[in-house]
Amino acid sequence: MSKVDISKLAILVIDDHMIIRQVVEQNLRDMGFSHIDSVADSGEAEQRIAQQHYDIIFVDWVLPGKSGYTMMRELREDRKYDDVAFIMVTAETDERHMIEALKAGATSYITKPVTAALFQEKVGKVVEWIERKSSGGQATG
Amino acid sequence: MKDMAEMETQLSGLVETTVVDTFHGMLGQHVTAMHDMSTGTEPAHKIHTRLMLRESKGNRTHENPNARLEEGAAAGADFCFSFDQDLLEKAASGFYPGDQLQNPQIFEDIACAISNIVGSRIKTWLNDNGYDLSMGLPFVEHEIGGDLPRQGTIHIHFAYDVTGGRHDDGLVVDVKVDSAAGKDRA
Repeated sequence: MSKVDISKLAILVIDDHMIIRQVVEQNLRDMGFSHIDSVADSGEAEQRIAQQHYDIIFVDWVLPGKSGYTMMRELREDRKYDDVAFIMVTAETDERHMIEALKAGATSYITKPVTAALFQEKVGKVVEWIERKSSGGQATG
Repeated sequence: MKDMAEMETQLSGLVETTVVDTFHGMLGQHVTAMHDMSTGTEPAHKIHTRLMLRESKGNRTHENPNARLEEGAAAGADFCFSFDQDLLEKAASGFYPGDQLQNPQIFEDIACAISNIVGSRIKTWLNDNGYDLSMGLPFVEHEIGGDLPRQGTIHIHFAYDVTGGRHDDGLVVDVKVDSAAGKDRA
């Protein structure tokens, strides 16, 4: 049983497709999350991230303008985002891309189409990661 | 290198699986691939999307795996999708309130999102089989009043369930793969 109250975690969803944002948000609400913001591109995402703290950021790899991969890698270089979980949600199913995303700092990786069972399993593990981080334990991703 | 017939058989299966999984697993709609093409009809209220895979010329990077398509790059594959708007409306109704279902952008967005997922799967498969392709962004063909010109060797109709029956014209996917773009590889 998770000790983290997920209804208090702040979530940002970044995807240029409205339907993917809706699918992710619906899956999150089904899990009990309630603080959910969503944006369509990396520019707006960076503004939001500068203004408030997010616990989990769902990011699409390919976005208009700066790619989600690049944005995530840049944020990971700043230690103040060490406690933020990044979940790459992408149609890229190539295993090499998954490895690259994890190397660049992704906490988890979800391939589209987003299905409820896989989504909840992956997000559940990320919540455990947040729990370990908040209790001072070793984070393993 | 697989021969073209074997490749098309496997790609056809991959398109079928990806479309069915996307509608069912992500959008909560059941669609069925129709193998008897003679019974398939074109969607009545269509949204057409197109998508291209082109040779990367070594420019694909992790920064953007779908880097801007190179001018004059060899064709890898061309996709044409024709969606029945009623199917998209069924899918959208699970995620949007009724008053938003008048907005055509919602349906075009779903059509492009599905096209993107199918195209990405095919790109990965082709790149695992000797190609080096980047994918352009899917786009809606607004100019076409009738049917898209069908040139592909992979041509699949998807039916969907409606109250009291089944419509056999939910989606038509047409894929043309250029064997030349993958030759001398793998």
